[in-house]
Amino acid sequence: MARERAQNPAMATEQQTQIHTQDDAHNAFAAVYDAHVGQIYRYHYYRTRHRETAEDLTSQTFLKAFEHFGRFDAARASAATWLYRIARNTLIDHFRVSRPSTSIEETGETLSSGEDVARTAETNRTLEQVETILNRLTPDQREVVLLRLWDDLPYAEIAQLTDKSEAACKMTFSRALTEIRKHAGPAALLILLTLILN
Amino acid sequence: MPPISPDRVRAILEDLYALDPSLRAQGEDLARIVTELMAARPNVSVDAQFVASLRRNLQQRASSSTPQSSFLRFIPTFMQKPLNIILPLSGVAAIALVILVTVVNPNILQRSNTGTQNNNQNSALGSGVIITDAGANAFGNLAYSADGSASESALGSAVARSQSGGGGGNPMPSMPPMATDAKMAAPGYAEGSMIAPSDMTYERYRYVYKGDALTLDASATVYRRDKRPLGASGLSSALQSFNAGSIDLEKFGQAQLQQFTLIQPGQFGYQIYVDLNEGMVNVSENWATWPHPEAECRDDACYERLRIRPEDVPADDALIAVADAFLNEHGISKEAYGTPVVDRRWNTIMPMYRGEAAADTALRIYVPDTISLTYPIMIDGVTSYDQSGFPYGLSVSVDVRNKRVRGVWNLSPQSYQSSRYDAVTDEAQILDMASRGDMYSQPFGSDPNEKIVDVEIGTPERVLVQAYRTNEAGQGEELLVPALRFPVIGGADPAKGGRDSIVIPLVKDLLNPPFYLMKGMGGSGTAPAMPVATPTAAPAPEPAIDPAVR
Repeated sequence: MARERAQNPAMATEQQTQIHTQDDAHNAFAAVYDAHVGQIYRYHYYRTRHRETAEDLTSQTFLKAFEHFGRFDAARASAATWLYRIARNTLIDHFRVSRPSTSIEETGETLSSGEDVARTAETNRTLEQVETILNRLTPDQREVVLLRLWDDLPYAEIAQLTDKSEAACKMTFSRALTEIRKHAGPAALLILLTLILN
Repeated sequence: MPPISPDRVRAILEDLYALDPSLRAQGEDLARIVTELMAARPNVSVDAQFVASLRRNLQQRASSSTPQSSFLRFIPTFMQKPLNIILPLSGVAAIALVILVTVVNPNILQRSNTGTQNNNQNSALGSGVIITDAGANAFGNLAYSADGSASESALGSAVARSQSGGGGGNPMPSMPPMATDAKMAAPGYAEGSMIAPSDMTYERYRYVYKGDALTLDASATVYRRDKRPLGASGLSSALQSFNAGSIDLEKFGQAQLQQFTLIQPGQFGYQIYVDLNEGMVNVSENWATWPHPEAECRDDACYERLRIRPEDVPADDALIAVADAFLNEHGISKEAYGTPVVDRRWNTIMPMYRGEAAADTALRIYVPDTISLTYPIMIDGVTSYDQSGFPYGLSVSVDVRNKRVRGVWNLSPQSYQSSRYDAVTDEAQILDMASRGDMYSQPFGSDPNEKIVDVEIGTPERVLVQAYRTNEAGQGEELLVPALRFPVIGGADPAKGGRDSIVIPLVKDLLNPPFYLMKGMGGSGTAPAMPVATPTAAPAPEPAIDPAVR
């Protein structure tokens, strides 16, 4: 991830310390958009499993980001972290409205809200099995696992995103894996092994 | 899905081993778990069309957020004569506008010096409509209104607001007076029919649909006006450091400039009210500088001599030409608007007097001395209306005596957020509401005194209807909601409350508001009414005094 950013010229916008004019700001935002729109879309898609919903949430994320770009402080967080934070809040708001009976802490379970007709039966089966495993975790654990393994975020960014320390995030991730291994036990490993062999 | 790199898995686990070395003992299992979880990540990529579309939206938003001077740029066109500014601070008035104009548009000094106008370069005001997609159901429940009602208010027509004075306490109302006497212009107004004795039967129109089968979509796009503040931060800071006579504005600390009024002296001067927060500008006559001969009248003969007669009112083309010339002169773009419509509703009172002596009729007909015309807002080729069925948008009033524009109302940047909402697909429900004339009228048969008169309505056109609501934060919001506009065929007498068109919104939130948002909780529309407790006999009130004494 870090290497990817270093190679991406758009990332240079994060290093800008001064934006002198409104045009500068718009150009900087355009660069941030180009660099991160794919990541933010995937973040929403992984959690909603619905293409149109993910697009809606991505739109909302960037519209909010645009409105508040003046407040973005590159010295405090990377543009990616800032965008992920907005995306996370947008997702929470989305589930507040669309699934009022679901607590915010349960948003990690949204993997199960599969609606996308495009996914294949094979993908469906794989995801159901992974969901079975992830559902054994606490919401915090699920969130960290997904941010680390699917969104490919480093612990430093996960920490900023979730308001935890890096060590706490690592501990949460570690416990999540241990939970899967210990409590799900052989059954989970069998599922995983099956998936690997397939 | 590309193969998962063992190095990547190892790096992930090394992080954990650093935290808890004992985990190395489970390394093989953990590596397998991490590998498989990573492999299960959905293989998805973002649609290029979506990326391009969102990028365009953001660019439009960026361009519309560029300095407010583009919107306010027309103000200097009033500057051939010096202007004064009135701030909404008691006692602060008549500050020379030179500073203000310098901040709004530095070029004005040069223009004033040369005395020339270049209106072609001055056309940013109102140019085009900017739409930003805000996602589905982005505005919350559309029926919500902070006063706890679902809103008749929200869909209250411009006419109603005009009648009530509108404007919410602003120095100038946000909507134009459609006629000098607004009540005379209200559709269906008829003196004598408004307060009918309760024991008299009256005619009530039932609008019977005779058109084609309706084509109804499952969802509809609602537009919310993006009230981006005009953001005259430079203007505000300049005034903040300006010592206005005996009042030092700096003492107001961080006070922000929200509204101001510019006053143009000299004959036929104007006053320009700018609400920076609402993103709204209204222009009206500077009353003191316009001739008002009727104000000098002391007897009926004088009034009669000066009275405007129907034949004095110019033809529509002439009125539109006056309005167009004014807008062009002041660089106000009509790009976002459709063909203007002249408001002739004042004329609808005339049928009231059918059968009376012509001379008597002539005496009693009131013709306003100002005629309004409206340039309707157009979005994607769809025309906007108020709920009365009259076009909604930029309004210009023309003084009949002087053939001059007297005011321009509802002038704002046409920037909207769009959002998809569930629409009503029940044709019967829509036609039932249409039969009553609107969403709020009681079902037929609820009043034994009503005598139902059937009038036909034809195949509707798709339009947008203007709605106004107060959101959860207590802020006013203007919406444009998809609707059907049914033409009334065969004439319904306006003097008896007849309409020339019926507008029914199509969004479920408005047609089926939740019961707790329903006005009076009494069951407007077809939404379920609140259960009413079985009435019980109440004891007769104690007489205040002994009846025998009376």
